[in-house]
Amino acid sequence: MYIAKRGFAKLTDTAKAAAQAAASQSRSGSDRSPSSSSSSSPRSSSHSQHPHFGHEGHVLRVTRLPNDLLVATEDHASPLARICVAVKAGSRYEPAELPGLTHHLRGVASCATKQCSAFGLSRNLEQLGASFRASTTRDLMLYTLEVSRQNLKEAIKFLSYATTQQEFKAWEVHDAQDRLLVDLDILKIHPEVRLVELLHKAAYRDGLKNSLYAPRFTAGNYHGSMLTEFAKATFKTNRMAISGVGVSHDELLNYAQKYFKMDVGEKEHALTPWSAVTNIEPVDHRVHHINGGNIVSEPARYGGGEAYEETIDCLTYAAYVTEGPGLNEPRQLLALKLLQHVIGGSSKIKWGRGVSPLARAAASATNEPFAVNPVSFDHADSSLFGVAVVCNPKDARNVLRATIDILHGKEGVDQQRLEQAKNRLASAILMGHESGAELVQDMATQALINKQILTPEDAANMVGKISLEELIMAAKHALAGRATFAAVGNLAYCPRLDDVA
Amino acid sequence: MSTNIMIPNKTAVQKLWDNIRIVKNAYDSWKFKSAGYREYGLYHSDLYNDDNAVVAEAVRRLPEHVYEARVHRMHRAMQLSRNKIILPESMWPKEDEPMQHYLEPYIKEVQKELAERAEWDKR
Repeated sequence: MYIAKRGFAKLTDTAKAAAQAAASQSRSGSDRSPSSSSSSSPRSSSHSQHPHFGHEGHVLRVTRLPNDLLVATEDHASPLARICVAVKAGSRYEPAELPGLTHHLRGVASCATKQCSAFGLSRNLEQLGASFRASTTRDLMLYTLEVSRQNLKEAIKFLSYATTQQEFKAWEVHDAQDRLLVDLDILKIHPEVRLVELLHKAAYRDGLKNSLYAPRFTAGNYHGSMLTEFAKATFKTNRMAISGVGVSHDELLNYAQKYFKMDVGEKEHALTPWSAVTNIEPVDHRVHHINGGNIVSEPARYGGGEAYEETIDCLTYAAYVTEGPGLNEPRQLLALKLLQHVIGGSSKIKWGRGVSPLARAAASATNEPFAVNPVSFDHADSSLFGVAVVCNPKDARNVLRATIDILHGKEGVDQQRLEQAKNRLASAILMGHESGAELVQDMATQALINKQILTPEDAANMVGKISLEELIMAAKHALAGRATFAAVGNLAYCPRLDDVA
Repeated sequence: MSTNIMIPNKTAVQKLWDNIRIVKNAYDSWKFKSAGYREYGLYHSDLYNDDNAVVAEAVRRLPEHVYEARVHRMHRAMQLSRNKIILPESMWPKEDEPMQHYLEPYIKEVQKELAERAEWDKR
């Protein structure tokens, strides 16, 4: 039973701590190497009064620990430390017989661990002023902790308990079904999310077709032992990465070596582990063995196809995509994103439809309101690249035909439009990563998927170097493959794939 | 036939505790036999009443097969009591069986959680 022995800090304590930290800051400043001090001295002089900042500037550091755990940090001058633990436990690694297992896993992220109970976890983090959230992509499970720098020492313990020492008690998994049902009810009012899930189901043949959301019949029917087996197979240090923004590399390395060891023996439990406590034989025939304890990672298999979900709606939501390169081929992927900005950027004016080629083509095909966007759903080794359309059901066919023509290059691209698109894409990348929250999750994702991590500046520079021929080549390559088409909503007048392609 | 194994002699205090343990075990054994629930085929943990909130939560957390066995034993005991008969001796649960206290760990866990909540609420 761990209770943070910390109330509200008294003024004298903070002043003392500030004086101590300032003294250590000035000492460490003299030890800094010439190269880093020259680049960061302007910043450090203005922050020398601030007690907690010993940052190094925007330097990305990556280390691979002996147990194959990757640690990446960028130490910004930020009072907030953000740590993200990424695990290769996304929906593509779900066992085939247990759809939606990762949705359940996401729901019990804040439940009991071997060292502290669910209540203790949430109260302690609350007391430290930390926020903890779990999100899933198709490849990864991301656990993010955001806390002020001085509380990181205490808070990171809880992050490690929640990611490496989960307990998955049967009744907590059962109680989490309420959260699951809320998620599924929210899905009812977001057809665009259902469209994306449908698109993946139609496009891929293996793991990537799994949805991020569990089917409704699984609520309350999955047992904690299934989650335990899944976690045992996927939460291994060679499938994990920790990234930090606003924390020094040495500090995060220290925590990673101390807390993320994954070999907590039975003796080190603070709470009694359930396997040791009850003398009751587990009579659970619902436990599935996941390939004898190892998840087999298969490359993505794209097949293409169509999928439709007809609902009562006044709009049609449709998407047309083909397969593109994954996150492990950043240059080709950036070329396709550049193409997205050539054919259509989103309007920067509220309620406006924009003047991009896509918007103009759709506007010529319908008088009703519409929304047309180029889309790209990126995964580790494959992506879906195309357009998504929301429009009046009667005009669906014309709008889709017009936008897909633009996608296939009807309006063409020249050097001037390429430069404009490059500016748009570079600024989008940089602005998207202004928030440390986005940056830390991106770093963790790239650490697990790529051999190298591209910072936003690297990515923006790479964009600048892409030539017109490269762009056209990438577009031709992507659009030559078999297409996937998915539609949700009012499908009374919706065309099929052979009508639009 | 000398051996190299050294068995230390017990101290007086250790001998005293051994005797106390013997007496305690005999008393526990007598208590178990005279309590009267084993003739009806019940375990010690079956005696906990569901009306108590802590026990109710502990029972809710039982695995399904354990809960169903508990319900079965209670029904059987009620039936026997109604008919004023008891089970044959071969069906009486043994004293040293681990299942006698199946609810204890769950009760302890619930109590721990309530204590944790109370501790936090004090602040």
